[in-house]
Amino acid sequence: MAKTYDYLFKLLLIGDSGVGKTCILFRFSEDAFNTTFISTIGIDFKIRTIELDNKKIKLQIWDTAGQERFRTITTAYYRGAMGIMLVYDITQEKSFENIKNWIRNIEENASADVEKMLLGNKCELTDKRQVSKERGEQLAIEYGIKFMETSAKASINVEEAFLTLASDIKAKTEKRMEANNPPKGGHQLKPMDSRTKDSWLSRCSLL
Amino acid sequence: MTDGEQQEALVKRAEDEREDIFRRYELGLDPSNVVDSWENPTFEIYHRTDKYGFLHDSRLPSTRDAQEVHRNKIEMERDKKWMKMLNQWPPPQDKLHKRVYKGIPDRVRMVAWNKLLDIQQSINNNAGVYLRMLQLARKYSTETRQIDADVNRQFRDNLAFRERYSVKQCSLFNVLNAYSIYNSELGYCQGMACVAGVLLLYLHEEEAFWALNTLITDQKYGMHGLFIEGFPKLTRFIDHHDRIMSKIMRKLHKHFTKHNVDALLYAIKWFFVVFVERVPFSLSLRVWDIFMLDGDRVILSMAITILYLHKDELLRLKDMDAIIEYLQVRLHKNFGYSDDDAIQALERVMKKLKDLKLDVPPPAKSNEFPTRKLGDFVEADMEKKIGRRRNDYTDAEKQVITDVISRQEQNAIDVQSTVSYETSECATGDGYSMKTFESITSLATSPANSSYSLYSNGFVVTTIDSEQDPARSQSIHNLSYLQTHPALPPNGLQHMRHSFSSDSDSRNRIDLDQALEVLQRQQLPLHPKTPSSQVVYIVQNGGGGGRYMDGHRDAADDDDDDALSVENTRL
Repeated sequence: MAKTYDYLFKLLLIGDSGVGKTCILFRFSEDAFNTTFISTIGIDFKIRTIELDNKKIKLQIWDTAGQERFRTITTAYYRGAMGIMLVYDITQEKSFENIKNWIRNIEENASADVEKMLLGNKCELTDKRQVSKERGEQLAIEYGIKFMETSAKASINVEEAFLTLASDIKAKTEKRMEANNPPKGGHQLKPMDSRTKDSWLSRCSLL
Repeated sequence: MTDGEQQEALVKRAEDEREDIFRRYELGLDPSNVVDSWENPTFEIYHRTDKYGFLHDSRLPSTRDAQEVHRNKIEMERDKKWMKMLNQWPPPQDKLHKRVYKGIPDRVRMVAWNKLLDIQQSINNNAGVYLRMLQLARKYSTETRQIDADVNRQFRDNLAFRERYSVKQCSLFNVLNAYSIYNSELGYCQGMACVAGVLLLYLHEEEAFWALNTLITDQKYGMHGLFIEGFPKLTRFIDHHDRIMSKIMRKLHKHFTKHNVDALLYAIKWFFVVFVERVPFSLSLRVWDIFMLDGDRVILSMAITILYLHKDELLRLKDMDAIIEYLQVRLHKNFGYSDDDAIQALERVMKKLKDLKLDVPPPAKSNEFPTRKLGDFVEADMEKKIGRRRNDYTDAEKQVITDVISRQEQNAIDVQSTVSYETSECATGDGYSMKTFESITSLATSPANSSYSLYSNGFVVTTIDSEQDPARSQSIHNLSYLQTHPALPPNGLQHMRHSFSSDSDSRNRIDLDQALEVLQRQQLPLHPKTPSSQVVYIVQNGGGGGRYMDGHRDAADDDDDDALSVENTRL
């Protein structure tokens, strides 16, 4: 039996409860907006295989419960993650304020060079907006990570966000492999950090 | 603005938010209560609903088949018997047992649950308490936002809960808010909305509140320990579940281990909401009936029953995605056995576990039950009032993280020690790369505060393929290098992981025999908290690797007979 993919990337979706993590994942894995919403209890995951530069990449995306008391269980899953999507809800100021807390959680528990990305979800709800796009961008710059506003409902930027994250991880992985370090020095590789000011993307088409 | 003023403003914001949410539930279905279009899925009246009120995507059959006619006839008969029995409460235990296991007829479930949970007694003993709690909640609950978010997602495919701010949605909101004050130690935990939601399908608001309280605080059910911070009962039950699996379903247990299916992945939901949304609703109700009668050991038995009934199919699935999908989605849609057959199997499993003295998990610790007096009002601290997430972890929380991580690590080690049972499959195909990659990633990534992880204790896991490995001499070099560098930093591990995933780098591979030697010499100090500087290679190759970790076990377990089927009991 041939291997059905070239890479397996483990991604994680985190953020406050109700910001739309499961809907984003549902949109990405099944291209549908789930109208019978269910809150995630504990931890769950979905799979989608994508293709980038003729490489098949299997994305195993872990979806987590957002309520604070579940952070103990979900935190244990940070360790294997190669990419993390931090999600807030643009109509919920508090969910945005808590991003700082989530980032700290990542710093303490995930691999130091995990790829991160910030998503402001529900960007179709323009009249309920509490967090401007600029603030999202600013925060992303502060942390040197990419940013997009998304809408799982209107299918805006969801696909793009995952493809961007996957391709960043792929680049990092391949660079590391190409570095061709002798085993001695294998651990001496520095995490890639080629962040620039324009590294974030923001293409919420409704805005 | 001073710090004090700023804090005041934040508290005010949280208070306004809570008041606004409460006001909307108060308005209920009033036309002035405008909801977002997405909140109210078009009322699909032409969709048919089943007898529990759940909507289905396709129309239900217009005629009843012979079986259903037969079932209805039986249920009508049972209705009469139950009505009689309920009027002469309490009935003899054996009679009640027999009838509950046959299934409480849906029409008498409301009265039956009332009796089983002794709800009227609770109401009589606590006159006025519910309303007082509800009033306090409106002023002080810090869980309102979370509850609101979950009410909006609970049973939206059921007629009773479908419409935003419908009567049942309002009841659910009230019950959970009031309970967050009544049991202030517990507050609100996701999962409780589902439990209360099921109760509300059969009970009135105040009844549901007291029923919920009984399920949470009564020794017999003890859901408090499941929902409380740190989830002590979840840990205790999952450990026991694993114990049962390893004793009577070894093959499936190994299969799950091999594919990284940690019980945590399926059991949280099973245990937290007693199988609702994981098996067909009609079957979950039957389990609820029995749960109310016999208490929490039913949950452990039902978990084993599900896995036992689907063992063959699960063994055929060769990766984690497929197994989890099967347990989470497929069984909810189609269980493959009639409710009666499933419950009969459950009864046999319960008996079998009792015979094997596995039916009762180790006793609960005191932290699984409320320590504060129920109903005593305690005002929340500032952070909670504002709704800010905490940065620091409590000791209880740290313990949970340690437990979950050590489960993952133990699992990764077990993977290595069990792969030989199906080596041909391991050596090729998707299952192989998936499994090994997973075991590497779960171990190799180094968290910054990894004081609990294998990594920080100096353990490194890598894989080798000694038959194809051209670089034996290089391996010796690697080995000695790694040994002299105990504190291998994370990037090195990352490197190994990535190179393994691409399967293009053989330089990190080492020789099997040498690794074994290292293992033996160092005698594997595997206690997660023992600081050590050894580098251990847990190795694997195509032809039966990993047996070095636990060589004696493999031979003994190769032909495992499941204890459940030893007696030719067909479940």
